Amino acid sequence: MNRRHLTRRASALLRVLVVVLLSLAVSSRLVGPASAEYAEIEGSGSTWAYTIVQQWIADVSAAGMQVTFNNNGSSQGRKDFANSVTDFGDSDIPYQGVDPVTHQSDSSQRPYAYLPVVAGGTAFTYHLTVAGKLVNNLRLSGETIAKIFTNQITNWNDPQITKENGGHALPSLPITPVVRSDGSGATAQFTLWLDHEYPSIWRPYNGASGLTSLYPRKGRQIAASGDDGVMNTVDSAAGNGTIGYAEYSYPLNAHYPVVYVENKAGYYVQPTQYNVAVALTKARINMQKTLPNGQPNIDYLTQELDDVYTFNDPRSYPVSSYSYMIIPTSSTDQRMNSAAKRQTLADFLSYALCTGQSKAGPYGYSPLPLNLVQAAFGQVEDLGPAATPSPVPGVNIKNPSDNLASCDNPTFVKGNLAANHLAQIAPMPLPCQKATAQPCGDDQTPPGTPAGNGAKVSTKSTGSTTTPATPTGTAPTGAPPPTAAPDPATGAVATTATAAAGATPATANAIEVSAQRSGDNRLFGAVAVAELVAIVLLPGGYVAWLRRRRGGAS
Amino acid sequence: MTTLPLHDPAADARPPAEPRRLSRRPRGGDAVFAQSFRAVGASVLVITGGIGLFLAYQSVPTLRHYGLHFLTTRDWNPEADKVGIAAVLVGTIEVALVAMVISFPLALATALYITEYAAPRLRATLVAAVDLMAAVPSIVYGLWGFFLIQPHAAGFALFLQRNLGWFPLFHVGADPHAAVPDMSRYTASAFIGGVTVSMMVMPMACSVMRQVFSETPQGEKEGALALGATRWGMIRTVVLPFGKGGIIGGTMLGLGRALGETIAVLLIISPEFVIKGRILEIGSETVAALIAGQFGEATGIQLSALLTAGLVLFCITLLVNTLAAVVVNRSRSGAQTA
Amino acid sequence: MTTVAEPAQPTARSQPVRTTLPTRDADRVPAPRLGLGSLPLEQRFLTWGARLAAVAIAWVVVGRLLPVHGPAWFLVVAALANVVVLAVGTAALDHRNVAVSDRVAQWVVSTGAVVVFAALVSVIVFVIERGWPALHHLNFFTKDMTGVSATDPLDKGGILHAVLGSLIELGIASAIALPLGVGTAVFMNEVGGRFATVVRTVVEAMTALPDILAGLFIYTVWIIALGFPRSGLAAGLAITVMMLPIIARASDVVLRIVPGTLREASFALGASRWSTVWHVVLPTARPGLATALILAIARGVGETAPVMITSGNATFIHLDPTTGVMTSLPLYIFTAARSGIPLAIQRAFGTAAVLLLLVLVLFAIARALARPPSTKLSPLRRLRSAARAAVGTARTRGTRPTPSTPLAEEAL
Repeated sequence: MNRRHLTRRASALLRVLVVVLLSLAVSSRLVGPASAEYAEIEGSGSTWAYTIVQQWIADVSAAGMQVTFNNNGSSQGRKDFANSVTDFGDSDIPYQGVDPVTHQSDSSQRPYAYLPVVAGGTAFTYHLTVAGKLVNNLRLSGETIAKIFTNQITNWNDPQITKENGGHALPSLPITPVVRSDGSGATAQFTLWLDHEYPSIWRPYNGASGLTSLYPRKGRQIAASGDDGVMNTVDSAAGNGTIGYAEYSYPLNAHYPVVYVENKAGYYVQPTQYNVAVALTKARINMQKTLPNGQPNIDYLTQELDDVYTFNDPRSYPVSSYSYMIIPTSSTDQRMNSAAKRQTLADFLSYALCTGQSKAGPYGYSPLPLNLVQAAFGQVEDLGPAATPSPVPGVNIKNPSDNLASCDNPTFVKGNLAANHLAQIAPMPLPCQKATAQPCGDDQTPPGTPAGNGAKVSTKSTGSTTTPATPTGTAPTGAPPPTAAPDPATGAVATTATAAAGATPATANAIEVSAQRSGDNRLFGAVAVAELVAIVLLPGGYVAWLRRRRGGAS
Repeated sequence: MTTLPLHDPAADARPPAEPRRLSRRPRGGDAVFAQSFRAVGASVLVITGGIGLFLAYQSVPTLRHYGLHFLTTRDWNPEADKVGIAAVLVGTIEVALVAMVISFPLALATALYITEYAAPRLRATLVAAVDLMAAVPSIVYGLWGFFLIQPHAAGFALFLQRNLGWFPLFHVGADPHAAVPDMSRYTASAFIGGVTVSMMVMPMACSVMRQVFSETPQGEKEGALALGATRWGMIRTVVLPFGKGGIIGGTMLGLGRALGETIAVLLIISPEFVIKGRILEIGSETVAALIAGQFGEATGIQLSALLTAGLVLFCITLLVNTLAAVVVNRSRSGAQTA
Repeated sequence: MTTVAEPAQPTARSQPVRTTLPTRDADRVPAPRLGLGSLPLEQRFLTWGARLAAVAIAWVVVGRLLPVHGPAWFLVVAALANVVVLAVGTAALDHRNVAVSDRVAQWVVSTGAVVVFAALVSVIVFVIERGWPALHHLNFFTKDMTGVSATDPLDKGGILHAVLGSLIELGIASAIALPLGVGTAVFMNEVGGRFATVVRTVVEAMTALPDILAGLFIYTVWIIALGFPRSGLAAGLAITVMMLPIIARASDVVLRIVPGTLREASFALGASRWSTVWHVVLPTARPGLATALILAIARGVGETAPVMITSGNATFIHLDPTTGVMTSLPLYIFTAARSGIPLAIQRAFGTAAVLLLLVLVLFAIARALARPPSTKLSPLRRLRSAARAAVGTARTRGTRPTPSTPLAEEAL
C-alpha cells in the first residue's frame, strides 16, 4: 500500500515536472535570440563604468549579442582577464606591474590591448540633512576633500567648509567618509588625484606615495564594496553625515546631490558630461604604438591626467578620467577560440564607441572624443585583421579607424578630428558657481546637468519646516529661496540649502540646541508609569499578601 | 499421517552433500555490491576529505610567508603585505555570539512550546513552520535584515547606547545626545548582522531541541504531574534535565552555522579590520564575508591567505560541531536520537 | 489537597500487620473535581483580563507618559505589563509561588514562540509585499532581462533566466550528490567495516563546512588551477560539494533507524545483500529519505555564496551549463538588491518571493512524501480509483478477461 502510493505520487510528480521543463524549454527557445554569427562573451571589472556598460549590453541584445558583465571592481576585472576567466575586462587604471612592497604582480601574460571606452567624473556624493531637508549645493575645494578623506576635517561645521559655502555653517555633525572596501579604479583615480594635487596631505596618511586601489580605511571611515555599495551607504536612511566617492552616474540614478568641486579657475563645478569633456581635452594620451625598440607599447592609449587636474578653464571638472576595456589581441587566445566570439566583441565595442557614446551624457558619463575613438578602433582591429601573430579571418570590423562616417558619436566635429564638439558647446558655469560668490540656490541647476540630477531633488523635505519666503530683492536669478524656520526638535536651522545668491543672505547660522530637553520629562514619565502600574497592581498584590498571611496562619 | 521419506536411490549416486561454506566475505553479486558501494564511499571520502586536505595544503605558503603573525595581525591590507585574521576572527565570534544570545532563548521557548504547551492539533503545523524556517534561503533573511531590520535596529542601538552606554558592549563612538544623532554609526554593525544570522540559527537549534524534548519518556512526565507538579515544574524537573544534551547540542549546531554564514553578513556588515567590543557600532567583518568580498582580487599569496582563513574557520566550526555531537551522544536523550 | 486516605497508624511491632480500610470522613465536603480540559473560569478571566490590562497600560504609557513611540514599543510594553499583571493576579488568586512561576513560565515560553512565528510571518509577508509590484506582471515569470536596463519599468523583463539557471544548477548538483550521498549512506550502513567508520567521520566533519568554502574550493581547483570557465557546471559542482555531506549524513540517519529485524528476515529468506538493500531497506526508509533529500535540495537552491564565486550574472537565458556564466535566483537577488536602484530592488524582492515559493513547493513535496499514506482516499484519488474501476469493468467485459487480483494491484 505504502509503496504503491509513493510510487504513484512520485510518478505523477515526475510527469508534472517533465511537462513544466518541456514547456520552459520551448518558451526559452522562443525567447532566446539565436543568432548564428554571434557567440556569448563575458567580461568583468569596473563598477565605475558599470552603469553605462550595462546599458550597452541591454542595447546590443536587440542585435542578438549576448554579453555578460560582472561589476566586481577594476582590480578583479584585470585579474579575471589575466587569468583568462573573461573575454574582456574593464578597468579604470592600467595594469600596475609589480608592487614594490608585496612583490605581487599586477600584470597579464595574456596578450592584451587597452582601449578607452568612456569618460566620466569621479563624483563626491553626500548625505546631509538640515531641518529635514537634503542639502544639495555643498561646495568643497580639492584641499577640503583631501582633508575630509584623510580624517583631518571631521565635522561638517568646520570653518573651512563654512568659508567655502559662503559663510553658512552646516550643523555640527561628524563627517563620515565612505570609501571602497574592494580594489577599485575609482579609488585609484581618486588617490592619484590626491597624490598629485595634495601630496602633503595624502602621503603622510597613506604612508606611501602614489595611487592605491585599496583605500587605507582609518578612523571613522566606512568601507563599502563597489560604487553601488558606496551609494547605498550614503543614501541609506542612516546615512546622514556621510560623503563618498563614486562615478557620477550613481548619485544621478539615486537622485542624490554631488559636491561642487573647485577647479583651478576658481569655479565650483559638477561632473557633467560637458565639464568632464572640457577637462579631458587636457588629458595626454599615450599615442606611441610601438616603443623605440620595436616592441608594441602596452601603455598605448593610457592616460596621463596631470594637466587635467590643473586645467584652468572655468568649466573643467578636475577629477575626470577614462575607463578602459582590456581586450585580447592574440590570434591564438585560449578563450577567443571562434570568429563568432571575436565578431561579437568587435561589434559590441563598435556600438559602445559610436552610438553607445550618445548615451554617456544622460547616464552621467562623458562621450569620448574622436581621436580616442579612432585610436580605439585601431585596437579593435587587433581582434581580427590585426591580431598577433597572425590575422584571424572572418572577423569584420564595422568601423575601420580611417572611416568613421557611420559613427554617430556626439563629440564629433565634421572636418576636425582633434576637436571635441562637447567641449566647444560646453556652457560656462553660473556666476553663483564662482568661488567668491554665494552658493547657488535650490532652484538653480548648473547648465548641462542631466535631468533627474540630485540638485533638483528634495525628497527628504518634511515640508512643515520650510516656508517659501519673499524673493530677496536683487537676487540675480530671481528664484525665491525658501527660508527655514528653526526646527522645534533640534533647534537647527536650514542654512546653506536655502542661501540665495543675493546681497542679503536669508538664513541664519545653525544653532546648537540639545535635543534632550526631555530629561525632566523622562523622570516625570517614569514616575507616572510607576504610579500607574502601582494603581493597577496594588489591589491584586494586597489580596495576595492577605491570602498568604491567612494561609500561613491557618 | 506421517509418511516416511522414500529412499531415493539417485541420491546415493550423487556425492554426499557437504555443509555450505559460511563466510562473512561477500561472494558473487554481493561482492560486486559491496565493492561498488565501497567505491562510492571512497569517492565521497575523496571529495569531502579533499577539501580539508586542499585547505590545509593551501595554507602552507601563507603560514610560511606570514608565520604565526597571520593569527595575530589585525589588518587585512594586501597592498601593504599586512594580512592577518585576528580582527576577523573576533568579528566572526561577535556576530555568532549575538546570534546565539538572541536565538538560544527563542529556540528553547519555541521547542518547549511545541512539545509541551501547544494544542496537539497545532503541533504538526508548528513543527512544519519551524522546518520551513530552516529551509528559507539565507539570502532572503539577508534581504529581510538589510531592508526591514536595519533601519529599526539602528534606532534600537541608539536607544541602547543612550540608556546602557556605560556598558562597554553598548558603547558607540558617537554622541547619543547630539541634536542630530550620527545614525550612520549605528548601522551595518555586528549587532545587526547577528540579529539576521539568529533567524537562520534559531530553527536549526529549535528542531534539535524539539526532537529531544519530544522523546522525553511519557511515564516520567506523567509521574511528575501525578505528584502534583505544575506544568512548569514538570518541565523543569523532567523535560529540561532529560533534554539537556539536546539543548547544548542544538545550540552548538546553530553556532556552527552562525560562524559560517556568508551572504547575509556580506550584505549587511561594513568591513572593518579592527578588534572592538562595541558591537553596536558600524564595522566588523567575518571570515566568510571576508572570503566572499576578497576572493576576486586575491592572487597568489593572498588567495592562499584567504584559504587559510577558511581553514581556520573550518577548524572552528568542526570543533564546535564535534563537541555538539559528543554532547548529544553522551546525554541520555541522545542515545536514541543520533 | 486531594488526599483522601488517612495514613494508617503504625501499630506495635509484635502485632501482625493488618490491612486497614480507609475510613471515609463523612463530614468532609467533597473537593470539587478539577476540570482538566481547560482552565477554570477565574484563571481564564485572569488570562484575558491581564491581556486587556496590558494593552490599556501600554496605550497609556507609550507616547503619553514616556517619550517612546511606535508599534514596537507598544508591543514590548504591553508584553511586559501582561506578564506583571498575570503574575500579580495569579498570586492574588492562588497564593502559591509554584502557581505564579507556572503562569510566568508559560507566558515566557508562549511569548518566545509567538516572537519566532511572528518573525517567520514577517519575513514572508515583507518579501511578498515588497516584491508584489514585480510579481503581478506576468512577464516577470516568462521573460529574461535581455535588453532591459536596470531602470526600465517592471512590465519589461523578468527572471526566467534565473529560474532556469537555478533549476539547471540544482539539477546538476542533485544528479551528482543524490546517488553519491545515498550510496555513501548505504555503504556506511549496509557494508560497514573500518573504512566505513572513516568515511562517516569525515562526512560528519564536512557537514560543518561553511558554504563559502565549497565555492572557494571549486573556484580555486576547477577555475583557477584547471582553467575551466566560470559556468553553471562550476556552480553546480560547488553546490554538490556543499550538499554531498548533508545528504550523506541525513540519509545515514534515516537508514540507521530501519529495524535490523527486517534485514535479518530478508537474509533469512535467502535474499542477497543487494536485493535486501534494494527491496527492503530503501523502500522502508523511502519517506524519510525523500524528506532528507528534498530538504537538502531546498538548502542547495538557496545557496548564494558558492554560486557567486563560481558563476556570474547573465541577463539572458543560458541553457548550456558547460560554458558561459549562468545566473541563479539567489545570485540575481543579491546583485539586484545591492544595486541600490529602487526598481532593481523591487525585482530582487519579487525574485525572493519566487525563491521562497520554490522552497515552499519543495518543502510541501517533502511533507507529502514523509506523511504516512492515509487510509482515507483523497477526493482526487477516489475519483481516479472509481475511473479505474470503470475501466477495469469495461475491460473485463471485453474479449480477454484480465485477472485483477489484489496481488497484481500490489505489484503496481
